[in-house]
Amino acid sequence: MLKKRKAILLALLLVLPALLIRGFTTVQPIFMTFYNSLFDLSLFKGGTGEFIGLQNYKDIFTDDKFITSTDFTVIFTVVSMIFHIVLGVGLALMLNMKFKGKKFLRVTVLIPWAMPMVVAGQAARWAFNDMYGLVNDLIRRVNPGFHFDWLIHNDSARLAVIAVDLWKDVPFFAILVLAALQFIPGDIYESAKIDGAGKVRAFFSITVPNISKTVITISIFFTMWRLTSFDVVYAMTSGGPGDSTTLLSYRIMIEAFTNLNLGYASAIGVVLFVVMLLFSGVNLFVIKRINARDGL
Amino acid sequence: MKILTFSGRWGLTVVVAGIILIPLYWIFISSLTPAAELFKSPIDYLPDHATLANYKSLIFKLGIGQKALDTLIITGGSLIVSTIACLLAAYAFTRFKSGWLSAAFGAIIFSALIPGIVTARPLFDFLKSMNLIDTYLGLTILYTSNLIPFTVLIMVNFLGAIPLDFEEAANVDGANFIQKLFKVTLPLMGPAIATTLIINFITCLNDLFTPLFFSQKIEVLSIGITTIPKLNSYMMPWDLISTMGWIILLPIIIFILIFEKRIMEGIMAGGVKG
Repeated sequence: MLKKRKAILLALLLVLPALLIRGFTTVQPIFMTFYNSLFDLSLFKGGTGEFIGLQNYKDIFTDDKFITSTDFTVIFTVVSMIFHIVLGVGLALMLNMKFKGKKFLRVTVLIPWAMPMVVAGQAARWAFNDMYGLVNDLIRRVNPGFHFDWLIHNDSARLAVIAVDLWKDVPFFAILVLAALQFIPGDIYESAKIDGAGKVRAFFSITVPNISKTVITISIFFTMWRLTSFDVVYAMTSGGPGDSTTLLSYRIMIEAFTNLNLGYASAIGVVLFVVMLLFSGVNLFVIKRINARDGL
Repeated sequence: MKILTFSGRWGLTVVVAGIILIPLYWIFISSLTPAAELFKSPIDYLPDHATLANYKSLIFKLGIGQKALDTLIITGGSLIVSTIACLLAAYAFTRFKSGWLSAAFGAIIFSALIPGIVTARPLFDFLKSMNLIDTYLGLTILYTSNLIPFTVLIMVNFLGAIPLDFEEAANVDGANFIQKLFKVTLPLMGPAIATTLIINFITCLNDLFTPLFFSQKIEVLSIGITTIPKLNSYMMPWDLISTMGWIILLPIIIFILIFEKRIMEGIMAGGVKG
């Protein structure tokens, strides 16, 4: 018994460095975020520093800027995720093909995943420029005389931000789906072929059920990352035109570091954090359900 | 039928590769084009006067060498610390069982759910009160902390799959814990360590968030690209930005060419479980 206790103590000692470093950067700040959200800490507008209960939370829902941000964050997440799933599964099927170009394709799709979003975003800022950008230049090769300034109109700027997000992250999604595809034994397809099932039929009755668990789980993670996306907007549009591409994370940054409205920023942060918690709860629930279905 | 499949595959490959590579190629030729010729339409995809002038001005006027060095110091430091800390932790998580350990594991993984932006401001004030803002130490701690959840997860998955037989054999030989860790377990961990190092290196290079909020004087490469001085508010200094972009891209592309297989496996290992 004494020996066992000693072993556990040793184990806890081994965990300590990782736990301390992680704790150092999260415990106090998350506590302070909750705490600050209950105080009037708007440094510019002569905040009193007084305890105001849930006032910051009440203010959120009448703030047009917050509503615009939420609106775009939801659109960004939903539209981006639909395309992630469709294009990601398609690309994964391509990556799973056995042909000579496999290695070339795999190296190519790794590049967007591995490069910093800030580089992609800065390049996109210029690529969507009316006169000198890549996008319009390519369009003008087919349709001469085309002129459109993507990033100064609300809807097209939103579209462009989503496009860049897809360009950068669909390959990553596809690689994760590929992992699931590789677990499907090849002989299932063989016997389906013998039974006379066509390619489309085989896709829906073999591929889809086999990858659905992976696609659902990674989709939840990708949704959570979309909800907290920051880099793409910072590098590409700075939240503009107006506030139309200000994702929630970007809104929090403006309130916390530019407007110095600490209490209010914390309140938005808490809301975002709670949404994340809900999603991870959904995640756990879904995984349990799928495992139960599969009899695991 | 065969020809159809063949051309279909290559057709799709060309489309996908084009979507990914054409923008990268455009960044590349922009970096080689003299600034005066860059701001004209249509784009000249084969620059007539290719030059390294943009690279020279980045190196000599904007001190990109210092930025690269800062990036390397912080990245290197956090790779070393995170690997050691996570290795020890993963060993404990897979070789011992107790409620406290599961709680610690849960806390580390759960903490990855907290969005960085939510805690950015209080964390800034907290680090400031300890004089850690704008220091190598402070940034290294932050980078290390960012790497920990993923690294622990990968290493736990990997270590969990290594059978205990080897260590039990060492037990019989009367080896103590330290000897077991270094002589038996560590050599088997080679592939997992290599994979996490490669992916973590890329994660560190990609990090914009941490240097943006927690340092002003120490400027790493990812931030450097956003702080290139503008001539006016309408024109982006695209000549220098594309050059800087390509300076960041080049090592990443070389890295992928060398480690393609390992990176793929690493991403999949993290994804299937996670």
